[in-house]
Amino acid sequence: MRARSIHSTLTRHFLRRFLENDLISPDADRSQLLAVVGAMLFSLTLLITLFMSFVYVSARLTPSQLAISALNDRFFYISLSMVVCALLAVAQWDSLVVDVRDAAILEPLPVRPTVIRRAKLAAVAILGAGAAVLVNVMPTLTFPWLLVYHTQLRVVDMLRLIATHAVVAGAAAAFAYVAVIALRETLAALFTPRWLSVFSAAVQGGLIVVLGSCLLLIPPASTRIEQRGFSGSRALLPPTWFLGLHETLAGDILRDAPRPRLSARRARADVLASMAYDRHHNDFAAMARRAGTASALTVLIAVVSHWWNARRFPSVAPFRGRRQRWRAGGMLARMTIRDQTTRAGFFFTLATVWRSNVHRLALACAGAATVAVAVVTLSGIDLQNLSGSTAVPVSIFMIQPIFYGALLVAFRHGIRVPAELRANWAFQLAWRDRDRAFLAGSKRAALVGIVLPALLLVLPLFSYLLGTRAAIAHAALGLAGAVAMLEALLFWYEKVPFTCTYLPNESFKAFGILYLVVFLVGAAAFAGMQRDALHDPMAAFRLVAILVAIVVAFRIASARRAGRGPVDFNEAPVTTQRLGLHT
Amino acid sequence: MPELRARALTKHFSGVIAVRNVDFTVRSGEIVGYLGPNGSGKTTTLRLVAGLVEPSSGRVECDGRNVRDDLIAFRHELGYVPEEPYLYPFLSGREYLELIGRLREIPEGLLTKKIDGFLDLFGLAGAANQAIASYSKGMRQKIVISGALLHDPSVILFDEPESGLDVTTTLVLRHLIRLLADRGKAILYSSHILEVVERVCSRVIVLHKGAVVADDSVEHLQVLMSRSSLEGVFSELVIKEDPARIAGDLASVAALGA
Repeated sequence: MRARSIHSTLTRHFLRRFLENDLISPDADRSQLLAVVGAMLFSLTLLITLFMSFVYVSARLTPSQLAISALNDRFFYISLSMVVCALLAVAQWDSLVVDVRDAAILEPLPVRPTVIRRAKLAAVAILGAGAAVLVNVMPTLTFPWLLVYHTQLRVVDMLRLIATHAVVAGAAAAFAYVAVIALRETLAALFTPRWLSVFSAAVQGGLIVVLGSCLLLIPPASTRIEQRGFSGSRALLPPTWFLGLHETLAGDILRDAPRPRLSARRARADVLASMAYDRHHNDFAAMARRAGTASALTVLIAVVSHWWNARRFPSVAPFRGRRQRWRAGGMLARMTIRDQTTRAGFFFTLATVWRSNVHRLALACAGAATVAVAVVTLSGIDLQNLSGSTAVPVSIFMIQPIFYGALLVAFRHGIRVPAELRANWAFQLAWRDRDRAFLAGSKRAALVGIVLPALLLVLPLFSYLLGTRAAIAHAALGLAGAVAMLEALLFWYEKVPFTCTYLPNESFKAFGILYLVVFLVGAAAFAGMQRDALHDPMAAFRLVAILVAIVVAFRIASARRAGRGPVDFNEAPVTTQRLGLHT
Repeated sequence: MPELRARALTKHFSGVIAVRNVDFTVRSGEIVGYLGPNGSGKTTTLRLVAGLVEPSSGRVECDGRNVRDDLIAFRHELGYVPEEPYLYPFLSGREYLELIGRLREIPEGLLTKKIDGFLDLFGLAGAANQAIASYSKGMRQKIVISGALLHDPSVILFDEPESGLDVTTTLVLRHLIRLLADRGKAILYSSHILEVVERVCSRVIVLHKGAVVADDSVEHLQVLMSRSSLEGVFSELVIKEDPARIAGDLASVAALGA
C-alpha cells in the first residue's frame, strides 16, 4: 500500500475513534449521529444569531452605534467559538495524541511511526476544523447581513465584514483548540507517564468544569463591552484579544458607513458613539498584537512539546498506580455501616462516582453549571456591604442548594448508567435481592462523596458573609436538605445503582424544562427558609421538622413498596421488548 | 450433598438454536468435563446453569428443585468462573473481592481473612491495591477464581478457567479442582484443553452443534471408540474434516501472493 493510502486509511481510523466513547452506543449509526449533531449546531447557532440580531432589524441604529453594539455580539461569537472548540479538545484529551491503545495496535504493523503521527495530526486538525466550521458558519453568514440591515454598505465592504468574521472566529477557535493540545503536550513533556497518569484525569475534569462555566458565563460577559473597556482583567481574556483583532482587520467599515439624513438627536448620539469607538482604537491594535503573539506562542509550545514527545510511542505496559486507600475513612465507614450489603453499596458508589469517567463527567457538568450560576449571582452583588444573615439576599443563599442539588441530580442520572455493563454478571450471581440495603449505602456515599465536599466548598463564602457559627448551622441545614432531596430523588428508583442496563428516560425529554423550573423554585424556597432559620429559632425548628417529615414519609412509602420482585439487571428498552428482540 | 441436573435444556437466540435438549447430571464430588468445538454451546450452557440466561425450554435442577424457582438460594451455593474475566476496571483487586464478599454477606472479619489468603496464595498481594485496569488477563482470571470461591460454594462452574494463567497457576488450579471435588463439590469444567480434561475430570460430556453427543467416563469412551486418548475420541465425535488438510489449506492461503 502506498504511503499516501496508508495515511488516509489511518486518518479515517483516527477520526472514527474520536466518535468511539462510552457515551455512544457501539450499535449507533455514526453517520446519523454526526448528521444530527451537525444539524443541531447549525440550527442552534442560526437561532441564536437571529435572536441576537433582532435588535439590528427592528431598531434603526446609526453606523457608530452599530459599531459599538456589534462589539458585544462579536465578543459573544468569538467566545462561543473558542469555548466550544476548547471543550471538544478537552473531551478528546488522551486521543489528541497517539495514545497507548493506538501504539499497542499500530506499532507492530510495518508502518513508519511518522506516518502514524501525521495521520493522527491530520485527524485532530480535521476534527478541530470541522467543529470550528459548524459553530461559526451560521453566525459568519448571517450576522454581518443582519447587522447592516438598515445601512447602505458597499458589497466589497460587506464581503470584507463576512471574511473578517470568518477569519477571526476561525483563528480564535484554532487558538483555543491548539492551547488545549499545547497544555496536554507540555504536561506530557514535563512529567513522566507515571505522574501524568496520576493527575491527567484531574486536569481534564478541572478544564471541563472551567470551560463549562465559561460557556454559561458568555451571555452575561457579552454586554457593555465598550463601557467595561479593554484594560485590567479584561485585557487578559483571550476573546478580548480576538475582538481587537477583528476590529483592526475590519477597519472602520461600520463607523465610516454612509449615513442617511439623521435627526439632530440621532446625529448627536452618532457623534458620541463615534467618539466612544475611537477612544478604543489603540486598545484594538494592542489586543490584536496580543492575539497574534499568544497564537504564535501557543503554536510554538504545541509544536515543540509535540516534537519532544514524538521521540517514542507511549509505553504499552499500563501504569500500575496504586489505589489510595483512606484507611481512617474506610474504618469509620465500616464502624458506622453495620450491614454488609449497605457497605457494598457505599464503597462501590464512592468508587464509581469518583473513578468512572462517564460518572465523573456527569458530575463535572453539574459542577460547571453551578459554578457559572454562582459567579453570575455574586458578580452583581457588593459582598463587602453585606453583614448578617438578614442582609444577605436569598439569591446568595440559593448558591448552596443549587450546588449540591445539581450534583445530586447528576448523581441520580449517573446511577442509571452502568459502570461496566459486561461486569454486572458478578452482581447478578452475588445478588441477594437486598436492593434497598444497597441503595441505602449508595445514598450515604452520595452524602459523603458529593454533598459534604460541595458544602465544604461553599462554607468559606458563607463564613465570610454570616460568620463561622452561622455558616456551620447553614451547612448543617443544607446537609439535612440534601438528605431529604436524595430520598425524593431515589424514591422511584428500583434498580441496583451503576449495574443495570441504561434505559433512556423519556419523561426527561418531555418535562425537562418543568423539572428545571421546579428545581429552581424549590431551591429559592429552601434558601429563603434557610435564611429565616438562621435568625429565628422557631423557623429553624419548622424547617428541620419539615425535612424530617419528608424523609420519614419517603422511607415509610419506600418500605411499603418493598417486595417488587427480583431486579432485572439486563432489562431491554421497551421498543426492543415489543419487537421481541430481547432474549 | 448437591446434585446438579440439566433437563432437556434448550436455548435459541432470535431463532438460532444454541443449545438443544441438553441433559446431564453432575453429582457431589464429581468433576465433569464439558467439551465441544467453538460455537458448540458450552458457554451458553454454563450461563443457563448459572441463571444468567433464561432457557427457552427445559430446566436446571439443584437437589431436585428447579433453580429458577429460587435463583438467589441457588446462587448462594454456586461459584462461577466465566470465559471472559470482565471486571470493574476502576476497582482494585482487593476492592472487587470485598464488593463480592459483602454482596454475599460474608462477615467482614472472615472476608478480610479470605481475601488476604486468596491474594497471597495467588501471588497478587503486591498488586492487591492496583486498579484492575492494569492487570494482565491471568491476574484478572485469578481474581475471578477467588471471587467464585470466596463463599465456599457447593456447585462450581468453570468456563475455560486456565485461560491466561501461567503454568504454575494452571497446575495449582488442577490440584485445587481435585481437592474441591474431594470435599464434595459438584464441578462442571468446560475447557478446550483435552489433556487437562483427561487428567482432571472423572466424566466427560461432549457437545456438538448444541447437542450432547457423548456423556461417559474418559476410560469408557476410549474403550468404546477404540481410541487411546481423549483427543482421538473428540476427533471421532465432532471433527468431521481432516485437520491436517485444513492446516495445509491455511498455509496455502497465507502464502498467497508470496
